Amino acid sequence: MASSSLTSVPLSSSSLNIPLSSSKPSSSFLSSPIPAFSRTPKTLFAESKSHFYPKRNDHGFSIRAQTLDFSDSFFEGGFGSEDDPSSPGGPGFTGVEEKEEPQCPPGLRQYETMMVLRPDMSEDERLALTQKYEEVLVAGGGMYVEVFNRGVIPLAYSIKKKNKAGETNTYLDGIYLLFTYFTKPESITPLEETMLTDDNVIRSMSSKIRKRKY
Amino acid sequence: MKKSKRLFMKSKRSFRRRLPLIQSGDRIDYKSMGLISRFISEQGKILSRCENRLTLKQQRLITIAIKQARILSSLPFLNNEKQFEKSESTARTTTLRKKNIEIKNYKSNFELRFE
Repeated sequence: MASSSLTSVPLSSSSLNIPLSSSKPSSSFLSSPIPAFSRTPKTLFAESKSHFYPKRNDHGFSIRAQTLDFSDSFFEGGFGSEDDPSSPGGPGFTGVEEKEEPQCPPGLRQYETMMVLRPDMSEDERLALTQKYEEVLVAGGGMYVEVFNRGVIPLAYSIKKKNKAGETNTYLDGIYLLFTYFTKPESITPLEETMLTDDNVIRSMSSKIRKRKY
Repeated sequence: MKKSKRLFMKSKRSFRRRLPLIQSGDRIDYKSMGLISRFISEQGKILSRCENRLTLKQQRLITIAIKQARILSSLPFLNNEKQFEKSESTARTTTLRKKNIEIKNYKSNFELRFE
């Protein structure tokens, strides 16, 4: 099964490389992701390759590798049903596409922050919290702030959290939110202090994005 | 004739290679749950490098990713299902011991009545 899937991928890549080279203008490039979603998932993989193709002139293996990495990283939500990861795959495609464009400004580094919010927050509260943290990041010298909302995911273990008012709540679910940004190394500490102080954030973690192949 | 066939079979087996669990482009990260969950046991422990058949670098990166995922509650620190099974088995042995003690007590009571 694995060998057959591996052989099927290069056939599609070889057949689709020819029209990709012809469709280099940006207008057609921008219009191409729209019909990609209406087609079969195989063409989705092909379209994702088209995004990576113009930037890397390496061997074909790296292009296939990118698609494998792409599909694997967004399978976090659903394991049994295949329909669930397809709907968060939509913003994921555009997110990764935007990620590739900005290059790292001098003096800044790329970081990512995953925070788990309370499940009972409404849409407006979550948007307000998102804007609040975007302002905190920009005030600290951050650039190219991107937010991925992964939705409500049940926690692997329950988390007790005490309020400022002294109440203790036990959370079984959480809204997972991922921030990706470029910022100075010194501004991470105040950001983490803000997240620790916030009552709406159950748990959070910041880490530097590494540039290795794994 | 048979010996030569056996040698041929052995030589075939020794040259078999299993497919690596991590493909060349997979990014080892705490967000890729599909990849990480292959390398933990049913109880939630991190499998050893011999069982995973990984290189030192891959094993180190996977260990870091699993621990980060545990902090964010994407993976459990310990899965309690097997612990309950173990406790049940120990309870059964204690009940058996109690039954033996009761049988002895009953015999002693019978002897007293007989006397």
